[in-house]
Amino acid sequence: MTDSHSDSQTPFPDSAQLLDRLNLIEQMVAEGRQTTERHGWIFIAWGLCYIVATLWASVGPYRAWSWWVCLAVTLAFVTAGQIRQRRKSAGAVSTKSHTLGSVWTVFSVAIMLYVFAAAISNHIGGVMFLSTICFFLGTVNVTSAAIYRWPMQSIAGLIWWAAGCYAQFTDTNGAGIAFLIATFFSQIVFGIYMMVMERRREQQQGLQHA
Amino acid sequence: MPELPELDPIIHGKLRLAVLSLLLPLEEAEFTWLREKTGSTDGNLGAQMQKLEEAGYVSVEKRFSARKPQTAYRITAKGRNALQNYIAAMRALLGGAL
Repeated sequence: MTDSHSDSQTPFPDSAQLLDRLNLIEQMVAEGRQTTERHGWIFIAWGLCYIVATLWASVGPYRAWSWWVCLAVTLAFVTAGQIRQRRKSAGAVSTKSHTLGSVWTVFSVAIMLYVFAAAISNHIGGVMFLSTICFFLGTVNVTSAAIYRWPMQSIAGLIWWAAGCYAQFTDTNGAGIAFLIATFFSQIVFGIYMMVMERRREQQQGLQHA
Repeated sequence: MPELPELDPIIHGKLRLAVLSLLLPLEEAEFTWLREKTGSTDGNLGAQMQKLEEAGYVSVEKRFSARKPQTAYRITAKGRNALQNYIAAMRALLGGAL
């Protein structure tokens, strides 16, 4: 792509040239919007983390630290993966991805603080603890869905909220089961769906560039 | 007879138009990423970016990341308006063709 004409005056363009310029704008804006980031695996990783943490908090040793340890290990793993991913696709930052990244970072800090405080005060695994985690997750998913205008993620968030509400009306075992069901649908199933969508998007982008 | 709108000569250049359009949905983009997307050379892209910067259509930030120099560009409010006006002018020129 070169710029051959003078800057001081624009020669009167014909229709073909104008249409060519309009096509160029459309193509470049679409190119700028394209993303190579993948997030499906992150949902699955966190889903597995919640399942392990819930089971460990129910039956394992050092139960008070189950959630804190699982969250810290998963956070380190996910952060390393994201840094690697960003290095590969470095070069451009969209406003949406920056906004979304900020929302999830703030959520991660809040949930780590909450779980740490719960571990110290020995409130891990109770009804209120699980219900609060459900509401945290529901809120961040619905916020994310609102930014991306993605109804599927809203459903994932609503499932978390439903589990959070249900947990308030049941015992610890019931709350644990509701939490695991919500984890399965909103993290594992949604994560797999997201990976399929990401694969499809990449194939379409590949076709457009071919 | 109504007067035909003029096209902004700074934006009308193909490479500068491509760069501004690329930057439109982005918060910022690095020089190397823009070069890759436009398929231009370092020298040509650098010269065109200089013109856009002088016109106030883009802002530039030079920084270091992992000890490597990086040049990041952002489209400014003036650049955004100019691009919108350019598109409106083109649509007016094309008239019924669209």
